Amino acid sequence: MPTFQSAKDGDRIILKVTGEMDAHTAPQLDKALKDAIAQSAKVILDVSQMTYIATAALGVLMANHNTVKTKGGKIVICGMQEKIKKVFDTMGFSKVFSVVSSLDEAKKLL
Amino acid sequence: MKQTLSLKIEASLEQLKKIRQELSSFFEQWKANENDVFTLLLMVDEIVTNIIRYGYENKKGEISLDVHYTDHTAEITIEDSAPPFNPLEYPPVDIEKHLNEGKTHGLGIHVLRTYADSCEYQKTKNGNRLIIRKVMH
Repeated sequence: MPTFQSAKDGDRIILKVTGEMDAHTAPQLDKALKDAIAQSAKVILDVSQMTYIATAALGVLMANHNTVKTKGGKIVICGMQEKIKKVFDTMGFSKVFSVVSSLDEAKKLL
Repeated sequence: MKQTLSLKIEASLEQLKKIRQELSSFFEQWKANENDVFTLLLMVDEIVTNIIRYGYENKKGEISLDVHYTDHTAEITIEDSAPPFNPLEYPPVDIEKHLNEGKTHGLGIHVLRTYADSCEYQKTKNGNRLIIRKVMH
C-alpha cells in the first residue's frame, strides 16, 4: 500500500510518497496532493521512495501542476529513482516539471 | 528457468500490482535489464488499465496474459473479451502539444508506441488480442 507523509517547512509543504503509483493508487496520490495544495501552493514532492509510476499518476501530477500554477505556486519533484526519471525524460515530463535530485536542491527552487 | 508465464486475471485495477509482481519475478530469473523490465511492465500496465476502464468499462471481465521469452525478446500476448478496439489505430499523440496544453489523460497508448519494438493486433471471436514484443538487453 502506498503511503503519503506531509510536513510544513516554512511556507512550503513537503509531501513524501512511498510505494507504487498506478491507475488503482493514483486517486490516493491525487487526494494527498490536493490536501497539500490546500495548505500551500509551494509543494515539494519527495519521490525517493516511489518505486513505480503509470500514466494515470502522471495525469494526477499534471492536473495538480495546473492547479498550483493558477495559484502562483509550483510543484518541485525530488529524489526520483533512475528508472522512473528515464521514463519522465522520454515522455517529456521533465520539461514541464522541475525535477531535482535532492530535497536540498528542491528547497532552493521554492 | 521458465520461458513462459500465463496469467488469467479478473478485470480490476486492484490486479495491476499482482501482474507487475508476476512479470517482475519472471524476468528477474533471466536477469533482464532493469530499465527494459520497467518499461515492459509499464506497457502491460497501461494496456490492461485501458482494457479495464474503456474495454470492460469497469464491469466484470477477464484478461489473460501469456509471456514468452526467447533470444532476449519478450513477447506478451494480452487477450480480453471486451468490444473490439485496435489501439494501434488510435491517433498518435503529439506529446509536446499534449503536455503544453496540460492534458491529464490519453498517454497509455503513447507508452506502447514509445517502448514496444513491435506490436500486433488481432480481433478474435470473443474480443481482442494484442501482442507486444520487446528486446531485453
